[in-house]
Amino acid sequence: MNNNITGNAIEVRELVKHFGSFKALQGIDFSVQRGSVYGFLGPNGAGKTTTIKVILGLIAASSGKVKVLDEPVQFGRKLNCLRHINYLPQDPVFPEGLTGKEALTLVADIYGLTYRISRSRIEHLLDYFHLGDAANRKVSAYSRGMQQRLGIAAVLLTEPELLILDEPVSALDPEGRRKILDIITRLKGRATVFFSSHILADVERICDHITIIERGIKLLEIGTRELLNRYAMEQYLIAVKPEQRERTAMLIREHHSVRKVTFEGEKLVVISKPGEALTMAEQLLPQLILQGIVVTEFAPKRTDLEEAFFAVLEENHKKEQIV
Amino acid sequence: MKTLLLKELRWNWRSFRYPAFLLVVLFFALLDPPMTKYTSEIITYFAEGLAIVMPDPTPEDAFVAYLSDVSQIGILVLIFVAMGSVSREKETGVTGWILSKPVSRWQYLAAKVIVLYLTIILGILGCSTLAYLYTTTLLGTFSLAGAAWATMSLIAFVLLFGTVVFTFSTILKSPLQAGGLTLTIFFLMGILNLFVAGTEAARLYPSTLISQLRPLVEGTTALPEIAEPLAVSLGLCALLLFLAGRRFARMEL
Repeated sequence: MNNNITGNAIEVRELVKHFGSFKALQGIDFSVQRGSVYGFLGPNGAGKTTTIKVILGLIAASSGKVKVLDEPVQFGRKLNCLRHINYLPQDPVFPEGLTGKEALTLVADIYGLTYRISRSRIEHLLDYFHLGDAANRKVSAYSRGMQQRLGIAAVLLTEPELLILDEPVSALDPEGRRKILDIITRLKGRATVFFSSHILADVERICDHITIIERGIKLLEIGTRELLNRYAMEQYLIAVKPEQRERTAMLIREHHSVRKVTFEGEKLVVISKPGEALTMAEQLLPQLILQGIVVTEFAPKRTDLEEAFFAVLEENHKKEQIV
Repeated sequence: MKTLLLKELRWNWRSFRYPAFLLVVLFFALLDPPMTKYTSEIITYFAEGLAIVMPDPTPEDAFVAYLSDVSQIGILVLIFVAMGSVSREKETGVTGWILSKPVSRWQYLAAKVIVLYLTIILGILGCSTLAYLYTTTLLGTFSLAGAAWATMSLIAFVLLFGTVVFTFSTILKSPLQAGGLTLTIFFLMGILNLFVAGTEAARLYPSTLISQLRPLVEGTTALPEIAEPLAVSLGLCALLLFLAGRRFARMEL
């Protein structure tokens, strides 16, 4: 893996892609810093795979610029930097008729690994991903999970500077998922990982930065912690005496900064209007106490990425409705 | 490039695609000489009591029968086995996977064309040699030069259809489309040959390579007589490969 970890591994500027009249990407921008683990999120059909294919030069951009490892991407022309990139498609595919070991050998040969290095890495990876016993079986006879593990082994085999992983853990069992996430975490600072996933808990666990896109439009590009903090700040958990819950909810709803009050078990979840979380927190607690409510807990609610993700999508839908 | 060539060879061997074509050519190389020699005896045996007069089989008859069978059944099998050479990989996503690695588009196509051409050229050359030796053993000697020119003529014609199916496989989405279109062209060319044969246009028509097989084997036609259809066929192969490469270079995968 390359030690040059300054600058950007991927730069995408005003990327537009039309398929006939369908606008798949509508001016996407983002930068992936070298050495980072970058999450690329969006619902099905958002344009994630299209973006990845443009980055790899497999499909043409209608307009916009893409740079990968400092090399401008030109559709149809072989990129020199592909030697330092390895890509795992959403559904891993391998040429027909090959065994698992042969598929890895093919990848090693394409990337020009020496026989000695490729043999030792292949054996190690096959063992690591529990594919040793199936190494000489045809890949077509593998289960989907095995194919995904083989696909990840094929990506790691060449120790690339940039790993582009499209839904890499979708078919794996919990143990397989944990292994892959551990590997990706260990790659931080040594390689760049561009990672698309539907499993938001995984993204939250390993990604430094994320971009959220929907229907070809970038909604947000932000640090993972920053996103979670932003949405966590807008929600508070309040616990009161059980007999005071209904009255408390009624009082809270009257506050001008409150957007929504819901019940979560014994507690109340209070969501502020955008940007009014601190005002709400400062005023609400004294008001409740003045009204004789016994507050046993008043704390920002921990938000996971899934909640933040849906909050971003919801905000976007509201904006669209207003427009 | 070597890696891609080995991958192609391995895939075709494992999937029994090109070996199937070679087996068919070998089948006719081994079947036609004895069939030609013993056909009259077999018919006489079954038609007991009837006097059937048939001309004595010649070695040229046996060799031409082999060449004709390959030019028909052999080509049909070739179309069937080669129609998915690119389109199937495009369909399954293998093409995109390979091209996301340090492999250029022309390297990808070139590896496939080289393996296809080598299979056709070496396969037919080998089987023609076998057919020639077998024929001379069973029926007596005949012109080696005639057999060589006729084999070359057949190879050029098979290469043309190999190239047509490869081109369609590259530019079309599914193997069935590629195979269906090539088959249509194969039959249309055969029908058109009925009208072209004997006219001036025949000098440039690729099917002339097949209609001249017997005269070439018998030595009544010399190589210069087929130079023009040979050049047209090889020129068409080059043109089709150029068009396929050009289209593939701008194809979204």
